[in-house]
Amino acid sequence: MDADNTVIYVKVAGRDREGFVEPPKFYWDLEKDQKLWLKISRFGNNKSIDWSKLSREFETPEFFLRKRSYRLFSKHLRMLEHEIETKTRGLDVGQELEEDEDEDEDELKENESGQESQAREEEEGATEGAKNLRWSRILNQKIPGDAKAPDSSLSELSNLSVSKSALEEAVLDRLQLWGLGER
Amino acid sequence: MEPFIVTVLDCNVKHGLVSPVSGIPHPDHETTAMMFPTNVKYVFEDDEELVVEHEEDGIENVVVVETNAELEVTHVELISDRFKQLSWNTTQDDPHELHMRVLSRFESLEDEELPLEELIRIYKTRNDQLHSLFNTL
Repeated sequence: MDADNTVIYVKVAGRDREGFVEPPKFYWDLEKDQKLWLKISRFGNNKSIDWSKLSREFETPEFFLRKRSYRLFSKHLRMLEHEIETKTRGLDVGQELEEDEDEDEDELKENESGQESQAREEEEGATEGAKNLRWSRILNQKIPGDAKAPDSSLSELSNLSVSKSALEEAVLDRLQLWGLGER
Repeated sequence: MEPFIVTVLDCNVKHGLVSPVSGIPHPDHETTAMMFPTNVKYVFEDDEELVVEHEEDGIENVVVVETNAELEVTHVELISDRFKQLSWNTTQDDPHELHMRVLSRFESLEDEELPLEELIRIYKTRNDQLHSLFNTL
């Protein structure tokens, strides 16, 4: 269906023409739509879109370009929101795992109530180090339900959380602090 | 009064088998199924003469859109030998943007060596589409 083989009649009930001028016939297809998106998606923040120029370039009325651009941007925004939601859900899974580990840690503390306080502190340090290592692994895992995610989703998550190297440095520091690095 | 914009999506499963077009992808460009019939004529109450385009002009599909005085779309009808109308809706933020879902003729699948999962997906999709068509009869 295009401008050549399809005609659309809009029957407006209960309303006179009142000087309304019909837009001229023009042609629009997927190729033009794609070119429009390439143009408008690359405009900088400080540049305003010259719609008149675009209208001449695409041989298309301005109202159509504006509406089409609005639709393309809004669909893209929805995609971004969905993307962020997916990533956030991935992080939530990690947090749940951490909470489970905290519960295990509490049980461990109850069992070791008879031991000396210094030994307990060392044990907690080791658990903390192991937990951080697990965190590192969690961040390296693929996010569930995200088939397009690359093997390591860490690079994508770098804007949302701490980097892998920062985490591992923290773990190594912690291990050295408790003398575990020498064991 | 704002002019209408009409977009048409062909829900035929054949479009799902075509590779996405190259370039920066966006929702409407993931498929070749999006169409833009931009030849829109308006008929008002006080119009005395209606110039109708005919088959001789190369017209194969006619869409009749009815609106009320507030320009809200009340009815859409597609007259075509090539496409059947499945549904229509206007966008929430713009009542002058009409989106139609249509179905072009079923065709044999060109690639006969599709994986089983893909065949099951196509079978289910076509079944749903046939149900939609039966419901409009």
